[in-house]
Amino acid sequence: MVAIAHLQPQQLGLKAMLTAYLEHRRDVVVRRAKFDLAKAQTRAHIVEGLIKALSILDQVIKTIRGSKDKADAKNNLVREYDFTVAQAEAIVSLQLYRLTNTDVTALQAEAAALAKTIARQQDIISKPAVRDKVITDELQAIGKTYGSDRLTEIEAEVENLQVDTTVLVADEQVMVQVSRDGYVKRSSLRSYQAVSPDSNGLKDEDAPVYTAQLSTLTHLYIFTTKGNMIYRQVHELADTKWKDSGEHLSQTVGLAPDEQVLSVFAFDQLDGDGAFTIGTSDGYIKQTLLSELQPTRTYKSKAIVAIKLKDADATVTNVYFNAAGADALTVFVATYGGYGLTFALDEVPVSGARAAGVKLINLKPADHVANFAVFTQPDNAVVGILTQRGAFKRMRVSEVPVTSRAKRGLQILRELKKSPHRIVA
Amino acid sequence: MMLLSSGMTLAVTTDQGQQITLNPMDHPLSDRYSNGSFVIDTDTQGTPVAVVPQVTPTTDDDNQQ
Repeated sequence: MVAIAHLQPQQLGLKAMLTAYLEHRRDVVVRRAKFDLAKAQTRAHIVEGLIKALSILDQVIKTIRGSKDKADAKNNLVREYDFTVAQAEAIVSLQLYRLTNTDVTALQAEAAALAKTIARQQDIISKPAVRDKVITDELQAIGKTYGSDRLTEIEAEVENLQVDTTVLVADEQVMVQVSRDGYVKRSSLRSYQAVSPDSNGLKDEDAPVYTAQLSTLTHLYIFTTKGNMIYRQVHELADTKWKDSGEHLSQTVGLAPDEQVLSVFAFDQLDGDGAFTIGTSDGYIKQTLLSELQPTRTYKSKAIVAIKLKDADATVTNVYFNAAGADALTVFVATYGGYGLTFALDEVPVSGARAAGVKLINLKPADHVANFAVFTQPDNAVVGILTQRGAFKRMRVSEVPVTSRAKRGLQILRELKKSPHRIVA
Repeated sequence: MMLLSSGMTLAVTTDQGQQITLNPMDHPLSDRYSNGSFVIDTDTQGTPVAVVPQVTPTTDDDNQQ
């Protein structure tokens, strides 16, 4: 917090604040000691004079009786007995009952006490350790007088501090859109219905990757081509009109300039079972459990690593989510050079979020993975293949029999000597 | 390469920034030795660089089906 320290406003932490308070207490204690010392020394001087006067009481009385007035009596005492003016004033002001034997003893006791007080105050002023002991004793006394038991509990480790914000969010249906270039938004159903679905607010070169009607409490997993996963709850997305582009993800999360949104998954609950299958263009694949990809404390400002890319130029080609208990799944992968490979997903081990995965296909030099697909029934699965020359074909996956992972695979295009076809991503 | 499902349309982006919609069901099934048929004029429309399924908004009515 901001406080005035050494006559300047400063940002102070707890330690700095306590240090400043101790400095203040030391200053207070020294000033008080100096005041008490001066007071005790003045009184000791007077007491010393009174004791001296009582020891020569008959001469003092005689001198006072022989004086003209009070001022003359004081001057005579100073002149004849070397009293100071202050002592002489105290003597002439002395009441007769103070001349008893008891009072002499009391004055001697007072002188001794004053001597102790003077020594103590001098120690406080000159010795820092004594001064700090005074502060400690005073703070302890304050604690005893005004202290109350701690109401909170100090624990060695905070287990899980979670504030359930969902109770503060109204559960309502909204339209959500995530674009390939990273624009995200949510709009009311009214705003969505007011314009044509094509008026999605995106630039011509951008395209929606995900558009759906969702609850504001739905959890979104947004995967990017650089292997990052951005988590958002729908109510955290910018609430805009449907014809507006929305908020760019880079406004909150750092995205690489060439990083794009690849796929988006919506979950009602995050404690469900299931796993993501993630594959990369440099030929790696892995499965990661949903429970391994939970939002972190800093999810709003930092993307979560979903796969480690071994090659900096590589990209994630696709992400699938397989719910737990699904039928046996099959993977089909196609490469830029025209190779296809089919194998069972069981061959891909489940690994952590930061793992790079295992080899997907044995790529030829300069070849890369165009894309891969995960499906349940290989006999019925059909893929569409588009080449860089603008040719398109539909092909049953069963054209490439199921073998095993990390093999070269079979050619799924006829290789031409001149201008061969290559599969685009 | 894209896993196809019934009713799916594809949005092809070319290096000239053009968006071309493709209906896979308009094309016959081919064997693995086929190079398919030309659907994009690369001279005028550009070289295809990305293919994504065209996103159809999912609404509550769809969910109830």
